Amino acid sequence: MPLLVSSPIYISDAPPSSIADEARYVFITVPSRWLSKPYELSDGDIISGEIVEVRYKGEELEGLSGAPASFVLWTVARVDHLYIHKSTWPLLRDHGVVYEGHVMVVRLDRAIRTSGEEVQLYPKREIKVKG
Amino acid sequence: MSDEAREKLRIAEEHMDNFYRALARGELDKAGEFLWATVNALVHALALTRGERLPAKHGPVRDFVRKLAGELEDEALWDAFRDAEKLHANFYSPGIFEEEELRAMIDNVVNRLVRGLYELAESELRKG
Repeated sequence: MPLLVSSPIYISDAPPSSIADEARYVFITVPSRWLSKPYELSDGDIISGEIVEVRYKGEELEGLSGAPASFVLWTVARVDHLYIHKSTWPLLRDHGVVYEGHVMVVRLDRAIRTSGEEVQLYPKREIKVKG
Repeated sequence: MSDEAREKLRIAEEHMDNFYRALARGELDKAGEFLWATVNALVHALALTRGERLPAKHGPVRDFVRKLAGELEDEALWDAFRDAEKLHANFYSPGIFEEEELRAMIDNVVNRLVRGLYELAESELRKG
């Protein structure tokens, strides 16, 4: 019963330097009030779950649904930027999710703090949000 | 002045929403201009939290950020403001910068300036 996020993908030049070892330059967003604020998450925490679908101009890309996905958190002005984790990057890159126009739907069910502590996200209820 | 500051923060958030929409479409020129508007609203908000109402002109906003960067000993903040000015200029004269330069400037403004100004303004408002 996790956090279901639907967000456009955004292309940056590079992830912020403090998370650059783990993150790649593509990110999605989610309002902080649904993620970092209630769960008291911080920059660099890892957010994980699975891809529900990735669409381009309304058409679903094949081969991505159900794949595990991880992101690296970086918060800007009450918006959580979820940069694609380096472990997830090859899958998305190889499907061409490297330019604007894609929309990603992901089911996020856990966060791993930089301390190593794992947190379940909304284990008792599914929350649907738009990024 | 804290109500006015909160209103400026709300305006900044609206500009950021527009920024994200433009960025998602790959419209970097527009995205840069929305960032410039965001930065202006945030500077006005932060000034208000400090009891200062800035005139709606470029110069006082620029002076405020230069002074702030000095006070915080944060040269990167000032550099990011310069990038915001370049994004503003680019909107009226598109093509000055290559796409990768625009993306790098947008990153710098979002991750250093917008983030920094927003945190400072919120922190000042919490102090009340």
